[in-house]
Amino acid sequence: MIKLTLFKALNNFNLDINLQLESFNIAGVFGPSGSGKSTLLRCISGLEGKQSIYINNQPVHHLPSDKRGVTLQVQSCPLFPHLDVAGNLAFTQKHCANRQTDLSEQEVITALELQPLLKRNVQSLSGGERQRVVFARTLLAGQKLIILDEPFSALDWPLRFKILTTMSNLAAKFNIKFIIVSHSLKELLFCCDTLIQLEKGKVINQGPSGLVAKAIYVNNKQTPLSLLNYDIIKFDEKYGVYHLQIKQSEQQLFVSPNAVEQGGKLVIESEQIAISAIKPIHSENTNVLVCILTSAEVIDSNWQLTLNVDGQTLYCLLSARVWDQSNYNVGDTLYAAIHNLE
Amino acid sequence: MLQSDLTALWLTIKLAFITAILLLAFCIPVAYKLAGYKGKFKPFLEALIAMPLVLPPTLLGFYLLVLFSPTHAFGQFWFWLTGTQLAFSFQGVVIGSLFYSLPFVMQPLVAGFKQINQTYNEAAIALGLSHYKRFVYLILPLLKPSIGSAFALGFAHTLGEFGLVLMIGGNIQGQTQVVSIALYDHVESLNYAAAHQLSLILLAISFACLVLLFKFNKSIVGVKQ
Repeated sequence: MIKLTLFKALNNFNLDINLQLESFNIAGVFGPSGSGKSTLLRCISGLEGKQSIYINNQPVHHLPSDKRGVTLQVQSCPLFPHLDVAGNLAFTQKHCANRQTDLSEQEVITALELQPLLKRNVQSLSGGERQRVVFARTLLAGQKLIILDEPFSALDWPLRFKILTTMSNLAAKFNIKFIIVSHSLKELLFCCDTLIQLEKGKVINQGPSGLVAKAIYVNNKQTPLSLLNYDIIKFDEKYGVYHLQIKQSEQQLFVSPNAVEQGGKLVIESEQIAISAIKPIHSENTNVLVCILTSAEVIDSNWQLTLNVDGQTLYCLLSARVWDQSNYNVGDTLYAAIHNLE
Repeated sequence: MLQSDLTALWLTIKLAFITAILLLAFCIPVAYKLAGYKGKFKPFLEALIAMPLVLPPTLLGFYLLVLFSPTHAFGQFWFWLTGTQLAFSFQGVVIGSLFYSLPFVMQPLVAGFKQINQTYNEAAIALGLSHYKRFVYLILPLLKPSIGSAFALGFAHTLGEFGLVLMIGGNIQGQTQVVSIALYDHVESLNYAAAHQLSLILLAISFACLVLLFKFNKSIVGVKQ
């Protein structure tokens, strides 16, 4: 549990935050550039200011950074250039005192697939490789509260989803709490259970990530991303696709390995979904999900439809013309064809 | 080569080496503090350290000579402590050189610490490394190239010292007669052959020092990653 009261005058506004984070595994902080996100993180970790901060009901504001039990990975965090990749990891494990997790170097190297990079000079790493090594080093500091400032911005989406899944698994396995700052709602929605929205130094929204993210999307006149949880049934070697079953449902999808290997959740953009009231022919062999229309809202002259797929949510967008001609009503059973999965 | 020239050469190298080592020992902790200091006295401290860059060496020599004299409290204290006088002695010349070469050792170190502070030190604080571990295992190893530069600059600059040594050391063979003064003597007595010989040796040593300096500079770790 984290409780903090911060007040700090910044250049254009005051950072004025009263925040209480109860049970969470990964909390996201979302906000535009210059909204005070990084300063908030620096205050929690002790790099800036002496503000009122309690972690697990213990006051930590009087403690220096190395005694707070918090690791902060600052934005564009550098690796130590006099050591190679393996040296950077070993250095952290050796010299960081009061390690609270028994996460071993080998576990981190395996989880983040760093084996091929170990002997490399840190100056020769690409942006994405560097961010993975920096994250590994942060994990090896061994603290139970880890704060990350734009940690994976240089990774492409498939790899980013994969690392975020690894992070979720580590959070669950080693009871590590993460606070992650990103300007990408897609990234935060994928991995966070709690979301905090900052604007001009103030928390304007806080809660379960699905709800906060939807509110932000609606506010920005955008359609939310859909995330579906699934179980893998089998891999069809003949066609090179996975057969997935939607969690707590009998419905199946056929998905290419790329989308599955990123782990955990299937990310579906609203543009990938087409809906119909009539059941398509051979729908059991195509990526069509039966769902129920739970709400429809106008967003910027289009209609955003919220669909329930056996307990999970899909968002799709219809133009006003199609909406008017289709006569859909809340409660109707609809068929959502999902494209570009195979 | 004249025996007196060899003595002068050895004395010069000894002087430059001792000065550079003593300055490093003094400047590393001071530069560390100075690089992180943001108070209102910062420009005054920086100006004070840079003063020997702009002052004529004879001015420094004059004030040090006054300080070393047996009529001054410091001169008396030194005499009480060691039983010797500082003026016209090797120790006196070393003290003078410490002032004279101070900025050449201090400035590369301050620049090195600043560069490390801005990037690597903060990352290490955020990782939760203690102050001691950061200094010993991170900052000092990263500072190596700056220490090399500072040593090479301090050494090379002391080699070429003339006015200050002449003022506080005089021209005593084996005691205070450094290469630049021996060279001056040869030119005054029109012994150009000896002057050439000594000049070439000094040129070679100075050049080697600067080559080493630029080699160190090249290997300085950049902020860019």
